[in-house]
Amino acid sequence: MEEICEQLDKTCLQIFDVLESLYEAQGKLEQVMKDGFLGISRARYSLGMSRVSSDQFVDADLVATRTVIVKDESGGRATKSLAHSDCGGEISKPTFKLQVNAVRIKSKSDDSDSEEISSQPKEADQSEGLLRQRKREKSDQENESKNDSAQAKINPHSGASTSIADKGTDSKKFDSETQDNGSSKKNEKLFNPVNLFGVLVPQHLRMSQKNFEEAVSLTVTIAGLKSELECLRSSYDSFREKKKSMVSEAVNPEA
Amino acid sequence: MAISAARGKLIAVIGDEDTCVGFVLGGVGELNKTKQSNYMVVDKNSSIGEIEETFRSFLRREDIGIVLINQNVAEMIRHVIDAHDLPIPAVLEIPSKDAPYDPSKDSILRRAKGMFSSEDFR
Repeated sequence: MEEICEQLDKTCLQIFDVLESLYEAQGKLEQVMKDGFLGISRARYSLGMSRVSSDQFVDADLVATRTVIVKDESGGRATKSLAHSDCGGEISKPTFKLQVNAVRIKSKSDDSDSEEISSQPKEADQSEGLLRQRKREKSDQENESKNDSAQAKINPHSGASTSIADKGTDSKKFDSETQDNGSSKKNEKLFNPVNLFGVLVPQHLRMSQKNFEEAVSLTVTIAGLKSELECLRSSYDSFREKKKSMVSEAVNPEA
Repeated sequence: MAISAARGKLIAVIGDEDTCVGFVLGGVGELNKTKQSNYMVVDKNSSIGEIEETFRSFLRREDIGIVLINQNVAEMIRHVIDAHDLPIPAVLEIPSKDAPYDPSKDSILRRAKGMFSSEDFR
């Protein structure tokens, strides 16, 4: 009897803990969504009513970049009647975990990639490749300059020519690397839902996107907390039933 | 579009235009092969039957893990939400642009509140 009473108290305290964190998460969600709505309204003010609306993505080929991994030990939908070891109740406790997917899409400009393309787009491609590797090039140059200075200190006469030769071979190597990277990745780019509303979108819309990304992660947290609450509730009910039956047995031992 | 490795379940949204735009911006929107979307924009022309049917279809879909619904929309189909007691998909009520979130209206919190009766503490 005492054990059951202790279990009841323990479950009750757990319920209050979960409720507290649930209210906190709900408050955060409300604030984040409020900021997000404000961002959408501001973007709508600068872009126009029709540019920031659901019409922009009605026919779009949408792919979810944020999904949720649901782990349910009982393995499916008919989980109501299955006992669960975690909370001892009759309802299973699925866990929810946010999953961020990197979705790549084929860029439209590269669909018509053929030999007939003029040299200008190719240059653009190369420059794009170079820009993509800009940081590395800079670091390479820094390394080289360090090597140069080191070699110049050792042999001030022969240092300049070797460095130029090295630079030449390095730049050739670099060009071939960028071309390889370009051929494998130039057809694909990461899908970003903000581009559904245009290429150059206002900063407010990007801020709003961040707010809603946070809102998505908060909803996943809330879903987990609510499932935990349901689980605790069911275990609390079962303990209470046990206690009631024990009390009735103690009062009427013959029954 | 190329999708990396194993994917989780989707998050569906039923709500006003701004809520849907926001969550699609957040990256939850998806149009599957059969051209079924995982969101529904509720406006003044949407009927209760339509909302109810969409909600039921989201509950039936295996690829949906969480259904988000604006609380003011949830109020319209409260009987359907109350009847749903399975843990998956989880149904969450969220605030909308016009109406803030009221915990006393939330189905799950109301159920939790009803746990403690005066008889238990005698």
